[in-house]
Amino acid sequence: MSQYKSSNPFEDDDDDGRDFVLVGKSKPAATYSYNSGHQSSLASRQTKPQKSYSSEVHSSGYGYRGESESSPFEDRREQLMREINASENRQLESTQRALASIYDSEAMGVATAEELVRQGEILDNIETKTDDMQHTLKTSQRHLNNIKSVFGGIKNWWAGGSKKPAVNSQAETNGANAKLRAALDKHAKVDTSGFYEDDDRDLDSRFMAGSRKPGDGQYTVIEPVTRSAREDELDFNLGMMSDGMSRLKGLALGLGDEIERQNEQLDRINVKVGDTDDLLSNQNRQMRKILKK
Amino acid sequence: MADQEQKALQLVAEAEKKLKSAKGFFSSFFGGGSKQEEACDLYVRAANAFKMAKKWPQAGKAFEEAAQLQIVLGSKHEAATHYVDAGNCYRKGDPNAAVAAIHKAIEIYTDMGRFSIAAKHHITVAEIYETELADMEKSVQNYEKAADYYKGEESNSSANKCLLKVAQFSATMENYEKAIEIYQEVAVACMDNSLLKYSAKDHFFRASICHMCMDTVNAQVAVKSYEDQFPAFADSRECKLVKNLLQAVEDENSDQFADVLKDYDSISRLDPFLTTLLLRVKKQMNAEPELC
Repeated sequence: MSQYKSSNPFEDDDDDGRDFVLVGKSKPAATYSYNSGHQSSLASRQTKPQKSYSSEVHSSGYGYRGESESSPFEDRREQLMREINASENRQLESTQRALASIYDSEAMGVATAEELVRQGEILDNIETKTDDMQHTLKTSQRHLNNIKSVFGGIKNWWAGGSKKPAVNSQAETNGANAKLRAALDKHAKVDTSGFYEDDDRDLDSRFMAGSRKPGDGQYTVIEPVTRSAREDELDFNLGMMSDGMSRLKGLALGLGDEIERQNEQLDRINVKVGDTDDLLSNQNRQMRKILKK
Repeated sequence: MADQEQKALQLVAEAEKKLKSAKGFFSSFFGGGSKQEEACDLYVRAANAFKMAKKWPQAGKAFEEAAQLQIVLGSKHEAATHYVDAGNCYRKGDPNAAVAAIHKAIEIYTDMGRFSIAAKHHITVAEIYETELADMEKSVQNYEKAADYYKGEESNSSANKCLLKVAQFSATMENYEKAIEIYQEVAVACMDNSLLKYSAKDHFFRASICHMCMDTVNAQVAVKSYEDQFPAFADSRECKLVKNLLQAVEDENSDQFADVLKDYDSISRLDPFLTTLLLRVKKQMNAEPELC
């Protein structure tokens, strides 16, 4: 306790400018003791008057001060209040950082979603065109058969005409999409209501001067500590964060579903293109044989 | 790569010789066809050799010759592909020639009815105008054509992507009406799709900023209508930002305007396009003494 007393006189002059912003709580005199406690370990941080980081937690060890301006308990209390303020500031800033990264992720997710939808359209196109190709190849095969031999021509006549494959593949994907959409919408609504309601009740209960609704149950209602403006902002930010998270969840689910659908489509396309490729090389071979002959 | 260039020049000379000889007696019969094919082949090989030697203009020219031969031979697909290759080669040196070559390719594709590919190449041309020639008008025209072709082929997402670029350039060129129309259209189309609805609010936001650039009263009316159409927009931070900005403009308080913007920017950055528009609004606010 006395060690700080000895360093105090040197600190007095330096401390005046070295005020850190505490919202409406600190007595100017009290800063001396606090900074003196810091002197030994956090010298560099004292040069940042605005940042609350300078009022670090670790000072809890440097509790008692020797200056007899006010009772030690009073000072201790103030010190703790400062620590609380500092911690609140940090919380606020970290929620802001969290919000920033949530919005970033959302922006990226949205861009990804757009790109995915575009790709989905192109894949649909590919599938349709591949089906067309197969149909055309069947026709050309018939022509080749005609050319090859008389019997080939008769065989053709027996086989009859091939109809264009109905747009059933398109329809089934559209059906899947609609179901997906419905599920997603329902999901999204349930999500936001679940998150939002809980938070609302939380905030409401706080604003109603600490009276708690009994049925809050599963999670602990956090009692407001300082009722400062910062805490309200903190609550608000937390609410925004939960909104952002639920939106992210909806996005992620949607993206995942779309990707799954496209994966299946890609497998189908793979098979179809492989078949088409076989047909093509087959026919090329036949044509080459005919030409050589 | 001097030897590649030598090889390329040699090949070009050979191809020209073949062409000349093809105009002989039997040219219209079997000989001519294959001679031209061979000449075409030689031109392509020459062009590739030029590419390796990094002589882009010559490579482009060789590709164009090949393309013209292919047209004569009646193989339009190949011709179009060669024109596109020519365009790519020219792009590195002479953007105008590139645009001309790609335009020829687009003509062939639209003739054949291959609109998706034509649209894709329109986008390429638009990008060349945007980056290398810095000609906004032509760029906008090409993006518009691309969007039309995509719409014709029912590729709505790709069409929307082009339309958004059109809107962005129109707003930069102060053609706010068009930009607003496009943003609204795209936003309404996005609203229904489960994945795209997250981007709908962004489109509404940009539309409202464009409204603000024109007229604040209109902007407020517009924002309300967007909220009605799309409730999720009302909850978003963007909507709150717009409302705060409108408030600031009404109060003629440019400091408040700047503060609101700084707030928003600290959490999620505003891109340069939006910043430009907002600066315009701010200038307007300072310039006009009275806004009603």
